[in-house]
Amino acid sequence: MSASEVAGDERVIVCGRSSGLAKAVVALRGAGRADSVSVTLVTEDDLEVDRCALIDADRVCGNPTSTEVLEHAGVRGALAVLVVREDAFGGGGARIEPSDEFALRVTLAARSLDPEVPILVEAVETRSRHLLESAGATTVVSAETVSARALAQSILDPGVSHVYEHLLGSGVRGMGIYAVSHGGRLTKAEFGTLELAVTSKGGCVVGWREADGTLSVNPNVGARVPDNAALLLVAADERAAIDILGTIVLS
Amino acid sequence: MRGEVICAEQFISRMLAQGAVFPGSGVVELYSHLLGQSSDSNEIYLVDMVSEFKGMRFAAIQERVLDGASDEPVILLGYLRADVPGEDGLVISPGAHGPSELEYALKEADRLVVISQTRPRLGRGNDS
Repeated sequence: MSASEVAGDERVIVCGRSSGLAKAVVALRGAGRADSVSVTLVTEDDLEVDRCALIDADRVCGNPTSTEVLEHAGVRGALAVLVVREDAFGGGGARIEPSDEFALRVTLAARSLDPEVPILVEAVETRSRHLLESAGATTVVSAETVSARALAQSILDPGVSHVYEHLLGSGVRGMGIYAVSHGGRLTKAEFGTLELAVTSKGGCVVGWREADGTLSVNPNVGARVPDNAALLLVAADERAAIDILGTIVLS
Repeated sequence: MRGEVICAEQFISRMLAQGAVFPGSGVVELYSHLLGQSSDSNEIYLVDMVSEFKGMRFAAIQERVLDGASDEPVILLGYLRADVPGEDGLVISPGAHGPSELEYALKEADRLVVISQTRPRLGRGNDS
């Protein structure tokens, strides 16, 4: 029986062989939907299994580049697959030269099992992005790019990193950004009018994402909300974002 | 804010976690967009208060900004209070934290947290 058959719910599969595994699971637990989303850890690294012993997650011990192992973990029909990058102590604590080869193999294996499952990859190198995307990764985030950009913005504007930390849910007053469908109710509403209404309800709208994936951030005040777009709201949690949007009535 | 420590690893873990729990939401793409530095991407800025806005509430400043008191499209995300040390003074989406934050009258030394393509010049007189 696979892990997904046991749980029968929304499941995120986390694959890797570095200390990033535990961090990824902790982050997943804090990302919302903690009650309905379960996490399965796939690793052959005993050190990482031990490190994650106290974390609320199922564990599948095996090489995540193997389709059999991933199938057992429940990749088919999973909510998402998350591939954590290697670090210099990957593979049972032995020092290694981190690369994206492992992530590439996991991506290929997961994609071969399920053509639809979202695969999010944390890449070591920016230049691996296209390769990982062509292997089937849905989203690739490069550690070196994010580090460089965050550092650059903080040098130019000290304090900005704290804003990101708050937006990423850190601390008591941490917030999040949630995509919420307006169900056609707000089609053609002017962005500026919507922004004022959302702020008065305790949120903040920063733009929208259209059905084809097009992202509009900080549109002009007169820009009209497209039909079928999900609005991107800053709110305390997903429930709050949905509630805020639900109370907005624009004439 | 002094002594700023940036933990990019934590940034990335949280970004990807949100993307995994809310797949297809565009949230990871949004963060990547905000962290980008191309001419068409937006960034987060902390901007000094302009005299025109001193003593005003956040919502009132937002109305002014939407009414043209900015040289380019700007989203007001929140503010940073000068009288509260460190990041405890950071208030994102003030209305989410209760009426007191939404009703707070911003002071001269406070700063506004905004999303914009370039560092905006706020206020009709643009004295920022």
